[in-house]
Amino acid sequence: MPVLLLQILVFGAYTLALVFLAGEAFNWKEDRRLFYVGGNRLTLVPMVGTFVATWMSAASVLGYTMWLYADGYVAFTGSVNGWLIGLLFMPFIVRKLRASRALSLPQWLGDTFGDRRLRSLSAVALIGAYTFYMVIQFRAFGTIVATLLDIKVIVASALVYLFVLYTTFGGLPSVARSDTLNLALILGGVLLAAGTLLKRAGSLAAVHAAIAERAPAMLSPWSEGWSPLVTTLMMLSWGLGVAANPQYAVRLLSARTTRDAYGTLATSSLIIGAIYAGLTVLGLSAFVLFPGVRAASDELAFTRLFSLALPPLPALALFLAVLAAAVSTANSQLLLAACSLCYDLSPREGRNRGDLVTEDRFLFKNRLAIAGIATAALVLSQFRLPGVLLIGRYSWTVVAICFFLPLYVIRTPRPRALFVPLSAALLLHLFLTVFLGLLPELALLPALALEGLLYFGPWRKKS
Amino acid sequence: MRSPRPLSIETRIKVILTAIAMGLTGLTVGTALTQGFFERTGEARLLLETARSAASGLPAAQVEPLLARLRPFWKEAPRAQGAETVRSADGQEWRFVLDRAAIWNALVYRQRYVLVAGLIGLLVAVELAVFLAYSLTRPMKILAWGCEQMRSGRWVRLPTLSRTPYELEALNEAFNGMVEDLKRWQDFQKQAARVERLAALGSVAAAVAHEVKNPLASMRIHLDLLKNRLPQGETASFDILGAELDRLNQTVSQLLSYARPRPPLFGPVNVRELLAWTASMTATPCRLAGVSQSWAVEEGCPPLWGDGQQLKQVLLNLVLNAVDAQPGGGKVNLEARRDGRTVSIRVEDSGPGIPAELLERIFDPFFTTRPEGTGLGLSIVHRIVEGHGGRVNVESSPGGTVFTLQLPIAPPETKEC
Repeated sequence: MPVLLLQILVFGAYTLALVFLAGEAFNWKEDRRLFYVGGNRLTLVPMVGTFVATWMSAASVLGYTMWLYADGYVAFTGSVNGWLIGLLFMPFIVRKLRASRALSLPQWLGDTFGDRRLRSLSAVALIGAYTFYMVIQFRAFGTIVATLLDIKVIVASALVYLFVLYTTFGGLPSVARSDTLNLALILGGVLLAAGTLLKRAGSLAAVHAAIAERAPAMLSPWSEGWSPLVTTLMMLSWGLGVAANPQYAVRLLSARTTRDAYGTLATSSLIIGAIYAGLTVLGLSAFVLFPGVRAASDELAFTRLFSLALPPLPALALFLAVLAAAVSTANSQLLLAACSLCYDLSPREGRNRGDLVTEDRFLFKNRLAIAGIATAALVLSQFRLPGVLLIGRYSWTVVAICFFLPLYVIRTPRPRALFVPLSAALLLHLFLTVFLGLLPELALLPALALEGLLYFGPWRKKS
Repeated sequence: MRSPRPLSIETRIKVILTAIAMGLTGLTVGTALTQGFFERTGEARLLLETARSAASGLPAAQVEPLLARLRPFWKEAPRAQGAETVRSADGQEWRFVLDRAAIWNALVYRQRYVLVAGLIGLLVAVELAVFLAYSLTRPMKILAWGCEQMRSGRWVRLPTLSRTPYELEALNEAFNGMVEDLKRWQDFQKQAARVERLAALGSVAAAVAHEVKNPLASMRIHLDLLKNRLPQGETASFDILGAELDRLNQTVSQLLSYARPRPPLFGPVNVRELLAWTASMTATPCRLAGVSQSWAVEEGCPPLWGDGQQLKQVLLNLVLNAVDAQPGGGKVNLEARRDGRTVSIRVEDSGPGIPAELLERIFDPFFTTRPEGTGLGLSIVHRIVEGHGGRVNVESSPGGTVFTLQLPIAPPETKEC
């Protein structure tokens, strides 16, 4: 069978699986709690499915692998290590979040500090961060499929756009079901590709030996270009961003019980570890077998490299894993962005359901917002924007500024005391990155320090 | 074992549209690929025939470049069975088989946009199916909600939905009609239960009143006899006792007239005279309470068909109630006009109004908000008006209360009032 036809058939099969396994878009008895947090009734399996699939974005699968291919273990130290540190923080916020019964993290923030402005500010930040982050997903998948099928990027991006729209229309229950399918594809695709490539390369020891001979610097966890301090700071920033990311916080809120939430964190860490191990093997083995593959972008280089390095079926499984990663992360972000727009920025919307007709209108408005935000991200994905990981860095750091301190540091919130520190921190971050050209991760730390200083400073009035 | 959940409308529509999208894509692409394959194969055979005839007149060295032109469609297979052969003039032979995989690859590449468009079409069809199902199930969902509300005892009216098919709109209207009818039926049942309850209460009250009335009369006579024996100036206590006995007697008489009303003596009642009598009888209490009084009858208002004495009692009770409700002064207005086959008499005051939660109970016997009231005045009004085949309505707001009596007009032979 022609490889091209096989690829299209596989995407078709994925479409059908998504359509019929993701369930119904319009639930018969739905309300805002079901739509945003699954009615706080998600059990362990869909929780793990949606947690890990959301975690593994196209940036993780593609950006990390290509960074590893280019620079070696510094990619692990600078990104994955930081993300995993973020995971270690999460158990500390489970009880705090679940006690609030909030439907979104901006709402939790606004309620905790008794300040409506905080809720609006963080909601605006989330809409911006997630719209840009979705650009990564659309662009990554669009470039890969466009290269594989030799079609225009916009046509390929339209495919992922439609996948994402379909799964998000049903709210979190539909996102969780499709994410479980996506996780199976990510895990299967990465491990199959890694296994195939490792077999061709011999063993991990052989790969390490070859790297030690050709480019020993790649085995060092520290970058030659950056000092260990900069790498550590970057790692820490990624960690803070992940720890405070509303995508994961909302999932912890959605669990049926606190025990399920803790179980999800424990189980997910093992699966995430396995996927990163697979990606590490892929990146290093590809370097040994096919060094020097370069292209104009990470996405293009990834496609060329693994089309060359893998036989058609494992390569297709890997590309499908990127598609699954893009869809699973984008639908989660899209849902949160729509929630911020329709719920957190609408002062009249309460957390309790209205009557049936009001609720129906409200959720329909959410679906329109989903379509609008996804379309904006699709259009933006066609413009020249910074690289995959850089957009991710901006998004994470903005999110970390909004939520890290209130989630992990502030124990006794003072009413209306956080708005000024948070606004000042966001402005400082903007100034340091845009005007002074500092890396977003490095700008995060002074911004957080300023936020903490202004909040805890002795001149602040005690309430 | 639980039976599997039946498929939803959304899933059914999704299956149908997905099947249609897949069928159309399959048909379009399949036709294009098959047609393309046959055309390419035909071209390949033509190319081979041309090469074969040209090669037969050329030496082997000159045939090689000619054969290179066959490569996209034919591949060399020296030992293949049934292969096509090409011979040069000097006897060298080449064997070729058709390269079907290459032809398919080229065709799929050429049709790739159609294939991707099919995939996009499939997704668009599914998303359309979702919204189609939504527009169909939304009114049903609201209807199911309405039924659930009714089951839990809450009366609801389904909202009118925009852009709903008229069949579903009819379903919505039928539900609302059913709710209206059920509500009317429930009101009727409540009314019937009230009448039954009041009848039972009335018969008990009448028996008690009858037993009390005779001893009261005797007590009053003996009190007067005792009072006459005392010197002037020492009868103050007896006067108070007498007044209280009179009040008790009045209450018992009211109770009896409520419980055992005498049957109305029907005849034409001049409305103007009725209102004028009421105004004159209540002029003094109105003046004492600082309440201004007015009355008006519409020109050409027909006479009522009823018992004049009982209707006087009705209006007297209503006006005196209105005066009592305005201790600091105010106004009372009486107004009569024809309203179809009835005469409508409005008794309107400018008092503080009756609280909404009490409105339903004001016609119940013994219900009163005044410490000195018996709670029978309005019950008697209600009973008399009902006995005339009429209706009494009350509307109240903080700016005042309006009682409206609807009473049947006299037969046509009677003169206008």
